[in-house]
Amino acid sequence: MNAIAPGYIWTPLLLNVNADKVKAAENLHPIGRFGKPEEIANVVSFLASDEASFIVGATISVDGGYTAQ
Amino acid sequence: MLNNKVVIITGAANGIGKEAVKGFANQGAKVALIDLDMAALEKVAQEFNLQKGNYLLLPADVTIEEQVEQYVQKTKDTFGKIDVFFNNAGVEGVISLITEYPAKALDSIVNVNIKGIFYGLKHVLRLMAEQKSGSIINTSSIGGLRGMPCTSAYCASKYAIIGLTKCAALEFAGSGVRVNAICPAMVNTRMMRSIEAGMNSDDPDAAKDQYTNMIPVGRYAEPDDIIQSVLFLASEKASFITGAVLAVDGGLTA
Repeated sequence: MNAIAPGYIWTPLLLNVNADKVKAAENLHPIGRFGKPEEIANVVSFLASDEASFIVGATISVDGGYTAQ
Repeated sequence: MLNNKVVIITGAANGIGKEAVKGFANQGAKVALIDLDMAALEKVAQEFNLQKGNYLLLPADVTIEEQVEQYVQKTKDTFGKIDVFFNNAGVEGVISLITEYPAKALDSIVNVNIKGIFYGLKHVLRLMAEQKSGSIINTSSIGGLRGMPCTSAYCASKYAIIGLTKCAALEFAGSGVRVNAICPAMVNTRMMRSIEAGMNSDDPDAAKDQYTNMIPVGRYAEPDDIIQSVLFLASEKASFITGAVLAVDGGLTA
């Protein structure tokens, strides 16, 4: 059982948000962009696999550096 | 997944560094092994039957900046690039109350666990920033997330590694370089044998049992448990993960 803490991800949820607000939010990510859905899916897939069997109760930030600041 | 990637591994002669050599080589990576002793590195290369042309043995003292600069340069000269850096070499110091902690052990921890990691970041990042690509994994510890009695210098150094990880990640986030830290719980290696004996010289197994009881899954990690997370963070599958800290600890810090 683990948690992922995604940053902003490009999904249909963002389609109704003003472009300038989107840009402002993008700039909050040190990596300079939002994440793509597959970038979250890859981490979920890893955590669900046997390769992650010793990772329990963890929270992993998948956020392009957002919470490193 | 990591086929033909060039990987530098420090602390490659033993413990999780040695397991990393196996893990990366099995995925088709070219590996540069860094540790103090050439004979120990040769033994690792033999044990894993590393293929000629796919590995480099570079004895070096990570506490000496010129030697760090050299292992980076030699790797680049041989393989042309550096894709992954497993910045892993570390020492455990002694088991002692802070009031009795010997200065020599403190110096050793500061030199290897803080300066060694720092110099590695400094020189590898110079190259990765030029390349505009790369993935660095620093080995911190659960001791970098929680206090543990009688390991003050070790914990201080492992907390420091997390700070270094985040700063380095932020400095190069826009450059295609990712920097992350892993925090293993107790791993079944020589380092834990040393800590167990330090905790209870008459009965180290009793110390091992006590430590094991701290881990919800009920066992120490094996080196391979840790390396699977390192391989993941090294790969493109972790492309949106930077400045992160991954506890591979069987639930201990949950």
